Amino acid sequence: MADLPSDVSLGALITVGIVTLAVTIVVIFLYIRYFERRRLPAITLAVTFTFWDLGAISVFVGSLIHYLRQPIAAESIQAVRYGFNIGYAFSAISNIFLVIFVSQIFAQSPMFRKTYKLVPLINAIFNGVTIGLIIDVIIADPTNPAYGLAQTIYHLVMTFIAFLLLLFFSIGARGKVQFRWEKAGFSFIIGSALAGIMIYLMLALDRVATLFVPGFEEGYTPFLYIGWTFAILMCTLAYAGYIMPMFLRRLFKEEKNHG
Amino acid sequence: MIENAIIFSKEANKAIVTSIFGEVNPESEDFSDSLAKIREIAIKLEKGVFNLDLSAGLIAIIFAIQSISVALVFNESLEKRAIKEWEDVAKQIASGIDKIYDPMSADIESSELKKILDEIVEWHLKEESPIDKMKDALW
Repeated sequence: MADLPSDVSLGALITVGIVTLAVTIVVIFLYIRYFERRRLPAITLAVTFTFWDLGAISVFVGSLIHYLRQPIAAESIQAVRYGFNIGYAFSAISNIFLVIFVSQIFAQSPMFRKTYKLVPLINAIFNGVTIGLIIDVIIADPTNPAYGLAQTIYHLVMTFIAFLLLLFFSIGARGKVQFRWEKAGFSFIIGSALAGIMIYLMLALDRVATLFVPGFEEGYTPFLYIGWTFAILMCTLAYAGYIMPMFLRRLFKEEKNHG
Repeated sequence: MIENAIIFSKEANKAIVTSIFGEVNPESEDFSDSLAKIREIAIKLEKGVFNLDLSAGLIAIIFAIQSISVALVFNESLEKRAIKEWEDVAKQIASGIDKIYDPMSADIESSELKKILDEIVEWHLKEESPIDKMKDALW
């Protein structure tokens, strides 16, 4: 029996739509910040979130086309599969830029000081493998590209590495700050990175549950919704941590960090 | 006791590394006048140790080592005996680094240390701290 995607539910479509909107808002704020400051790390971060946004848009558009055309015959193009696969490819590019951003902000650390751009370069090559895997599945079956567990797990590992680098260095920097608002900034970034890891963990668990757990064969398991909820949380924390809106600055500013 | 430590590059004519140990942030606005006074001496000082009385009940011990100077800032509660001890520590550090930078020294260990110190100073001249970078680019 052909491995066909499940029908897209309206709830899933709305959830992905909200995620896409949330990322788009963060992207707009990041570009505004870049045009105010004109600094390299600001544009790198904006590009990171742009690719993540393109990934979310791909999933949303793929799901929307699928939703509007369903039920879709087995021999017709399975749009939702394209949405997810292209989404993962954009997410892999986002991982590449995230590690470049980390290497720019934490350039003083021995890891980046001694290796120059070797870490981002190796990370880019390994994330390129994700894109290669996706191109492979599209070529193998252009009508219904597989949404395989292997590529989902591989991408989870690569995302885990990228966010772990951000986490590790942000925790270190958080311990050295002088003011509460700086500590809050790094805390939000740490929270955003943790939420980022949880998104892909939940997407992988959704795939595992769909493939191996009886009763979840139809897909769109609770893990997927939890994952997207983490995506909204990641965007909210990223907005707070990277943009630091005025009300947050006022809330934390001028108070010394004694903790 | 000790409030903060600041390393100046004579070449770059500015502070390149700051460390906070107490309540006084060397990068804060309140400290900017004191920092300007310290910097003036740190850049000009060619050798030895200089004691500088600052306003707001602070004192600084500045010592010069080749192309860099180090300033240690204390609050006034520091006893004279303790200042003398810090001066001795500063002299020890200075003479140790002098040895590393001695052009006649053919010691392999010294040359390795010099390489590391040069690399760190160069890097700090070029790169800001993560907090400074976040403030500059995003916050």
